[in-house]
Amino acid sequence: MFPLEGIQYARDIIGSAPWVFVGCVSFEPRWETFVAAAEAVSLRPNISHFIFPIDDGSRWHDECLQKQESHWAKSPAKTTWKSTKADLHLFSANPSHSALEMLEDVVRRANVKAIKTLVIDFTTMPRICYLPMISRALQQSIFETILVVYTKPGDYRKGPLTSEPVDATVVPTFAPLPSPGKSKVPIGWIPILGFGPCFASKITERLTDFDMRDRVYPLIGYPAYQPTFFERVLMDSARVLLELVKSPDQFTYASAVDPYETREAILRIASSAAQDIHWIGSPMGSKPMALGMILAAQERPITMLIARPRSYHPEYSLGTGEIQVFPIRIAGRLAY
Amino acid sequence: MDVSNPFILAYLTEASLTPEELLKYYSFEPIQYLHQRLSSSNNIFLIGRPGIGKTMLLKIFDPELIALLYEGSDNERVQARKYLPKGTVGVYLNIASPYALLELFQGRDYESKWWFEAYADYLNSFLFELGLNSIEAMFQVEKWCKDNQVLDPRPLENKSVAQDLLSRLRRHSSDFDSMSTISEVREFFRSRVQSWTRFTNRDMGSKPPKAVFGQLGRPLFALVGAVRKAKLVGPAFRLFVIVDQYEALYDARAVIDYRPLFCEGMRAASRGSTGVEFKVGTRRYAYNNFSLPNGRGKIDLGREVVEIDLDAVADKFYQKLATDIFRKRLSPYVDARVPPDPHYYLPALTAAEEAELYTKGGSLENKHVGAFTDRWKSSYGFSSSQCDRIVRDSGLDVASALVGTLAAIGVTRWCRRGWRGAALKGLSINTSTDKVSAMVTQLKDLIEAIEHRLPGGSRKQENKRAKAVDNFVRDVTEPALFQLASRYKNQRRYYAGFESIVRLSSNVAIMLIELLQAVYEQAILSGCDVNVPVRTQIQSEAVYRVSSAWFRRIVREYDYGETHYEILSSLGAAFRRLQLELSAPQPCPNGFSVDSRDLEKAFQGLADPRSSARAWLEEAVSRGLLEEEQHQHKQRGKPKRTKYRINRIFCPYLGISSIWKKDPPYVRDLEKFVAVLRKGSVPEELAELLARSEATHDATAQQSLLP
Repeated sequence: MFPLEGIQYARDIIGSAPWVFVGCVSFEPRWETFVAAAEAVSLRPNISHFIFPIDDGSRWHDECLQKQESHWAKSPAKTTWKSTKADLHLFSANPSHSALEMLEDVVRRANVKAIKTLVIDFTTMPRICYLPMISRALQQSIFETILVVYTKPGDYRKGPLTSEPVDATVVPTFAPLPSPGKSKVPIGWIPILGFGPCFASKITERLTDFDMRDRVYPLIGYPAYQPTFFERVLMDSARVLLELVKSPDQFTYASAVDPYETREAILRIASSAAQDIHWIGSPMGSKPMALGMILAAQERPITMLIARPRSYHPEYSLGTGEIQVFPIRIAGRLAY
Repeated sequence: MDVSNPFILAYLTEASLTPEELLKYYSFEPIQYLHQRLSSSNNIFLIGRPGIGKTMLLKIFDPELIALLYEGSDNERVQARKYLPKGTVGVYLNIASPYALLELFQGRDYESKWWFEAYADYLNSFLFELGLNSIEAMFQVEKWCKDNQVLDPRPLENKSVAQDLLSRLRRHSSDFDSMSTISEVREFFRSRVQSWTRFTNRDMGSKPPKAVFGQLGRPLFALVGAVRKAKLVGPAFRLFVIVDQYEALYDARAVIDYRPLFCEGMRAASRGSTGVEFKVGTRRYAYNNFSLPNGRGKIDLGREVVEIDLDAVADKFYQKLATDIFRKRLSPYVDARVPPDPHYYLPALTAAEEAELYTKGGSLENKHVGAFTDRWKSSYGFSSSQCDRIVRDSGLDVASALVGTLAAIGVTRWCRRGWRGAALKGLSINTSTDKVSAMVTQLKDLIEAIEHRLPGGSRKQENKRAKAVDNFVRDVTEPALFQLASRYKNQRRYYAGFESIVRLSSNVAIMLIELLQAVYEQAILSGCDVNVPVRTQIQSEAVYRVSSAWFRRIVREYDYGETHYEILSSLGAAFRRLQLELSAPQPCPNGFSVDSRDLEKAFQGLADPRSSARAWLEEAVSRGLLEEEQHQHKQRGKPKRTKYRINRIFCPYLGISSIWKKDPPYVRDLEKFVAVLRKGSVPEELAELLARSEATHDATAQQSLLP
C-alpha cells in the first residue's frame, strides 16, 4: 500500500457507509482541512468527536487556547457536523488514559449504531493521544474499515517549534517492558528522529539503566517533506545520539510521508537483530512515520517511550497543505 | 597519531558500556571521602545538582559492580572493597526509569489513597524481585562470601530462611498460606508486577490486583529479617535500597506526590532493626516533602533520615576527582609511564601572558588608558591636558597594559573616595593640594608597587604595604583582564589551563567531561596530537563553544527554559556592565544574595516559575543553572543569607568572571528583582552599584546623606 493524496480517496473508500470520525481541535489552521474538504464533497460522518487539548503550563497557553477556541466556534465540525468535543488536559493525570476513554466512548456509540468505519485525523493530535488511540483502535474488531488521515502543513516556522520538554513517558497499550529478571534483557532502541534535540536527549536520559550497547538504530525520514527538513533533523537530533550509535550502517531511512515504508524498515531492523532483544520505539519524527511505528508494534512487541514539550509555539505550522489518507484496514482486511 | 577523542563518552552508563568498562572509568575519589557517611545505618538523602555524581556514588552498591570489585585483583579495586560495608547488598531503583512506571500510576478512576497503595504494592513486588536477584548474585561471588563469612552460598534455598520469610509475609496476607518455598514467593511477586503493568498499560480486560502491602518496604523487611535470623552472614546482613532520580517524584507532584510513600518506607525501615536502609539520590528541592501519607505526620529529619549535601562537600574531593577522571580517560592515549599530568597537557596562562595576548599586534595607542582618562575628565573634573600630564609623568603610558590597568583602577577608586589618604594602604599619603600632582604621585607609587609584587617579583609579604598591594592585585586582576580584553578589539577572555576548566565545570563531573571533550575535539580538528599539550587558544575556543552551547540549551532543553533564559540573559547583561565598570566595584560579579528568611517563608511548591520568583529560583537551582550557598550577613547579628551564583559554565559566554569572591550584591525584594530582570532591565540593587561607581565624589557623598 502507499499513501493516497486527496479527499476523493477517503470518499471512495468510505462510500455511502456510515462512519465515525475522531479528530483534534488545534491552534494550527490545518486541523480542520479534512473537515472542510469532506464537507465540500458532502462526506459527513454519523458520529464525530474532537479532542480539545489544553496545554496547562505552556508559556503560550493563553494565545494557543484563544486561537483554538475561535477556530472551534466557527468550524463546520461544530456548526454543521454537530460533533462532540471533550477537553483533554495534557499535563493532568495520565492523559493517554483520558484519550483512550474518549475512544472507548466513541466505540460504544459506534457499536450502538453498528457503524463499522472509523476515520482518525491525527494531523494536530498530540503524540500522547494518538499513539494509544490508534493502537487501541487497531485492536477493535468492530471497525472493518480504518483510515488515518493527515494534513500536511503549508510550512513549519523556522525557529524552535516547541520548548520546555518534560520527562519521557511510556505510552500505554503497547508492549510493556520485560520484568527485571536475573540477567538484564538486552534492549534495542529505534528512535525516529525529528526536529528539536531535546526529545532525543530526554529519552536517552531515561534509558541509561538499559543495556542497549550497540543496539541503537535511528530512523530518519528521507525523502523528507522538504529537503531542508532532512538537514534540520540531522542537525537537531541525529547528533545527540551519535555516541550511542555503533556504526553509520545503523542509521536507517524511510520516506517521511509513508507509514508503510517505516513499518517495513522497523520490522527489518528487528528481524535482522538477535531474537531476545526487547525493542523500544520513540517516534519523534513525522506523524506518518509514527503511524508506521504503531503498525509495526501490532506485529512485534515494541514499548513506546516518548518525550513531549510543555509548550507548542502558537505558529507551529503555517497554512495548510495536501490531505493524505492512509488506509489501515478496508472491509475487514489489512490494507498493507 | 591517535585521532580518537579520549573524552568522547560523556555519560558512563550501562546504555553504552559493560559493567567492566564502567568500572574502568569509575573514580573512587568521592566514595573514599563519603563511604562512612553513606554506609552508616541510616536512611540517607544524597542531595546534589544534576551531574554532580550522585548516581556514580550510589551505583557502587549495585551488586554487579560489587561483584566486579571482588573479582578484580588490581590495587585500586582491592582498595575500593574497604569502602563497601560488610554483609551488605544493594538494590537499585531508578524512579525515572520506564520500569518505575511513575507516569502510569496516576489517573482519574481512583482516589489518590488507592493509587498510593497500588504504587506501593507495585514497587514492593518489583523491589522484592530485585532483592532476591541481588542476594543470589552476591552469594555467588566467592571472595565476597569469604570476606563476609557466608555460611550458606544458597540462601534462597535455605529452609529456615524460607520458613521465616513466609511466616513474616503471612502476617500481611493469606496469599502466602499455601506457599512453602521462596520460588513460589518469587513467582507470586512476579505475577503482581505483571498484573500491575497490564493494568496501567490499559490492556483490554485487565483489572488491578488487590494491594497486599499498604506500605513501601514490607516484603523487603521480611526478606532481610529472614536472612538475618538465619545468621547466614558473619556481620549483620543489610540491604540498601538505592533510590535514584528521586526528583522524578517531585516533577510529578502536581498530579500525584508519591514522596510521602517513600518517607513512610524510610520511617518503617529506621525502626526495629529491619536491616533495610534507603539511600536516596535527589536534587536539592526535590526531597522537601517529608510528610507521611494521609496526614500522619512527618518523617524525623536527622533521626529517621539523614541528609548528605554533595554540593557542599564536593569541594573536598572534586579537584582529585577531576584529576582522576582526566588521567583515567587520557592514559590509554598517551605515551606515559606515569599517569598523565593534566597541568602539562592543559597549560594555563599567567595574567601577564594573558594581557599580552590582548594587546599584541594592536596599535601603539594605549586603549586601556583612554577609558580611564575619559572617566577622570567626566567625573572628576580633569582637563585633557591634565590627563595627558598624569599619564606621562606617572609612567602610565609606558607601564605594561596589565600593570597600567591595575594602577588606573586603584587611582580611579581613590578619586571616587575623594582623594583621601592613599590610593592603597601603605602607599604615601597624599599631602598635595594639587590634584594633578597627587594623581601622578599615587599612580607612580602604585605602578611601582604592582610591578614589584606581580608574580616573578618577591612573594614574601615583608610589610603591610606588600600585603595590601598583593590583596589589591589578587582582587582586581580579574576585572583588569576583562577590561583589557574588552578594550582591545572587543575580545573575549582566554580560558585555558586545567584549573580554569575544573573551575568552570562547577564541581560537576559531567560538565568537566564535556569541556574536555570539546577541548580535545578542537585539538584533533586542528591537527594536534592528543599526546602533546593543547595550545591555550584551542582550549579557550573550545571552552567558549561549550559555554555558549550550554546557554543556548537552556531555552530548548529545560523545563521553563524560556523563563530561565530571559532572566539569566538579563542578569548576565547586568553583571557584564558591572564587570567592565572601571573602578571594579564588584571584581567578580556573578551572583546575588537573598535573605534566607524570605526563602523559608511558607511555600506551596506548586507556584509557577513564570510568575513566582521563589518558584523560579527553586527551579533554576534544581536544574543547576544557579549555584546556591548559605553565608553570614556582612553585619554582625543579622540573619543568614543565601548566595545564588550563575553556574560557572555560563560565565565565558556571558563575559563575566567565574571566580567567586566577596559577598555578592544584596537583593532587597526578590520578587521585584526577578520581575525587573524579566523585563530585560537592570534591577535597582545592581543599578545603584553602577551609579555609585560612575558618580562623582560629591554625588556619592550626597547620596549617602539621603535616607
